Amino acid sequence: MTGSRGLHRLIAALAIAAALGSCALFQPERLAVRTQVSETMPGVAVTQAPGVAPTPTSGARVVFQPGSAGRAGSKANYASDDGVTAGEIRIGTVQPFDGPAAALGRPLYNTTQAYVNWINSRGGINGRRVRLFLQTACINCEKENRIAVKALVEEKKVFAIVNTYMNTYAFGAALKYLNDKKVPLIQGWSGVGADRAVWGAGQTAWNVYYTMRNEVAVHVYAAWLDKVMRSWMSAGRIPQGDFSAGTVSLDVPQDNRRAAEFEKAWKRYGTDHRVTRKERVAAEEESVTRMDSVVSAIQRSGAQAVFSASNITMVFGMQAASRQSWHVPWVAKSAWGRAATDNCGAACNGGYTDNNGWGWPGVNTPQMRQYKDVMARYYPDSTDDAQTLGGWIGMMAFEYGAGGLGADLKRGPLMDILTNLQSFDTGIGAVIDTRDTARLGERDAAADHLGMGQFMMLQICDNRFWRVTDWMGRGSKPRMLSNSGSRCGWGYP
Amino acid sequence: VIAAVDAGLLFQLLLQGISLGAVFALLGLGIVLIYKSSGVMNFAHGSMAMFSTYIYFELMRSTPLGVAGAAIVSVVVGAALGAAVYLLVFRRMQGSGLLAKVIASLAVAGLLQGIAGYVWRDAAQAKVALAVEGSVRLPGGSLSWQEILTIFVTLAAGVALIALLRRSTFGIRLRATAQNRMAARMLGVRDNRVAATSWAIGGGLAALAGVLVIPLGALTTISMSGFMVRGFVAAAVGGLVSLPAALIGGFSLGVLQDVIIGTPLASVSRLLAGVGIAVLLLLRVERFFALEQEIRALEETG
Repeated sequence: MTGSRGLHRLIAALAIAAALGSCALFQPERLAVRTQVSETMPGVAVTQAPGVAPTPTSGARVVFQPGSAGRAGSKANYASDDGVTAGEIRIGTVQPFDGPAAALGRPLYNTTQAYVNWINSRGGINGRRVRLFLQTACINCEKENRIAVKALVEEKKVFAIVNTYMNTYAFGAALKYLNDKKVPLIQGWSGVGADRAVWGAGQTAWNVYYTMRNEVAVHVYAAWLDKVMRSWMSAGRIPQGDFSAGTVSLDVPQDNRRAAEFEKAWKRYGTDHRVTRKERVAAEEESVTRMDSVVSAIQRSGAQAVFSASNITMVFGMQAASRQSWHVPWVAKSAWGRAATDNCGAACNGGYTDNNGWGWPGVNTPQMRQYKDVMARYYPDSTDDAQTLGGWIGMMAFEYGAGGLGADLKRGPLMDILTNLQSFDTGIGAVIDTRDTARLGERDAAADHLGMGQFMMLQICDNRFWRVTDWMGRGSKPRMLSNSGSRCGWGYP
Repeated sequence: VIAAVDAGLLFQLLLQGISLGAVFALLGLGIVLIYKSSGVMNFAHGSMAMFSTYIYFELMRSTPLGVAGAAIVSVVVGAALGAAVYLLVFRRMQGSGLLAKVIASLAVAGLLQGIAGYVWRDAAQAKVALAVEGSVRLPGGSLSWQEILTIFVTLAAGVALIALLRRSTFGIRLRATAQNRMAARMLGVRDNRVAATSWAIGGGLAALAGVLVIPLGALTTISMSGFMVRGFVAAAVGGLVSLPAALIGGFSLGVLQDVIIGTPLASVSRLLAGVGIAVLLLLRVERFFALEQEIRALEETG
């Protein structure tokens, strides 16, 4: 009897311990991995001859307009590499389609598919139609992501992977696999952004994506927050000369590092620029269960503003601050998505975030008009945000690189083009420059293939995003657009 | 350490901790009730709360019921869901071991998450309306009306449940079933009916917790997972059998979790939480709240 009781107590204790442990390790979308990869939409028959593609040059700005890709030549297409035949290029993507993360995965996938359809309607790339294969995987699940890319590479024989949601750690094993296999990973969009402290140069040789690096971005956040706080001081909404700020981050290395980098950037403005409280929130659910207390702690520390290292902590943090009637400026990393506007409501009015360098639908360029036309045709219920514009830029880069190689489409040369872009203007987002030595003068930044040096600041107001600055990079003078249209002005309406 | 503590902040955190603890307590009450009646450690409790909250969200979105009407309907749906889970799954597992029941409850949790994820795929991350807007300023802090409402609803539910168990025929039957199911059955207690009723009350409490706390964040299929774990901790204070202990445990956990943020120990709060739970289990604090006979009976029949 005693033994049985002991066993039951042990089971109960283990069950509770396991459940507690799951707080940290919980992977909600861990559903059965679908080993069967599906082609999700039929390709469109080749109808047009290829045009002529520009090639990267030294120094001059390259303006790329989709549809101009394709190298003229007498050489006939042939099976130049895995996943490439005379008439077809196979590419794959890995997306979360279950649970809350589906709100990230589906728009990115739909955008990628829309772009593929558009390529095929134009006759493909150099006469090769493009087929996109989808593999779903939980966003936080390392093994699932690895299995997903393995299935795409080994079963579907894809030439490259495009536009994944690359959560830094969960995608690490997949990234290693792709590098071992020398399969390109090309994306405009990434969830959190890899950087050299996470992955070394050897690990990212076959990976390129286009956004702004954290340690550069924090200088823009700091400049913008300083500007906003000065405006609030002028209006008498916060005390003059008190540049005390708090930081809040999800308790994961890349977020914590971003918060720490922000603090360094903030302190460079002078001794009056202080970080009075640094809060970390353990997991997604803790951003609800503890956010009121976290915000109280930041408020009581004397902070007059908050920098949030992730969108989640801003969305829930601003709601908690609103409940506590604590209205101060908030600046957050990469919250440009429906998660912010749909979940936050009026509580987020006046919060600032950035566009990751991926443009703004209000920009009037031929490329942006193409984007809108194609999205209206193939993905009519889309919302312009980080997922759609980021995914679009990833596909633009792919088309540019693949088109430039003509019949000789091979993985190595493709990566050579994509990781050596210089003053590459998509007309959608910030100018891309992936050469190591050209990134804002940072000669040691060889570990990743990021490539944007600028982004725009956006403001959340009335459940919408408003562009409130021009392109800003490190050293830019922050200035609010007078015609932003937002009724929130410098802060809350 | 004491010098580094901000008393004003501690008071603010105390208020918020009481509100947060109320949610843990609400969930803990349901977990205790279900365990007492059927010997099931219900790891689907958070998912039941989530599912009912999606019902509330849908009612608010698609009908003119309003906050009160939608809340009442979703609590009723939560109760029906609880009874259904018992009748369809756990009634058939009375002879099964504790581990089998735990696994079955995890399966129910997964099923509910899957269904909700499919049905509300257009609202994978939804904003749910607050029952009451605004906040009230208190000396040294402030608290939203939603949080105040949560505290009072929890206290009312806790007192009503304790009274129900101590003073009603149902309560006597439930306690008899918990202490000796076979003997209770021989004396004419319809244990399945008692268990189904308890599951219904538990499901209703879970729905209430979800409707009260989810509007403070966002509604997703996993919104209640973290809350459920803490609800279990609250329930474990009384050995999963004591309602007053679950109430005390829930409020205490909420207060401790929040107040620690205002101390220099904030950075090790999660470690302390783990150590605290281990200590509770080792010291068997449930003996102070529940009859040894009841704890033993449930452990053996569970």
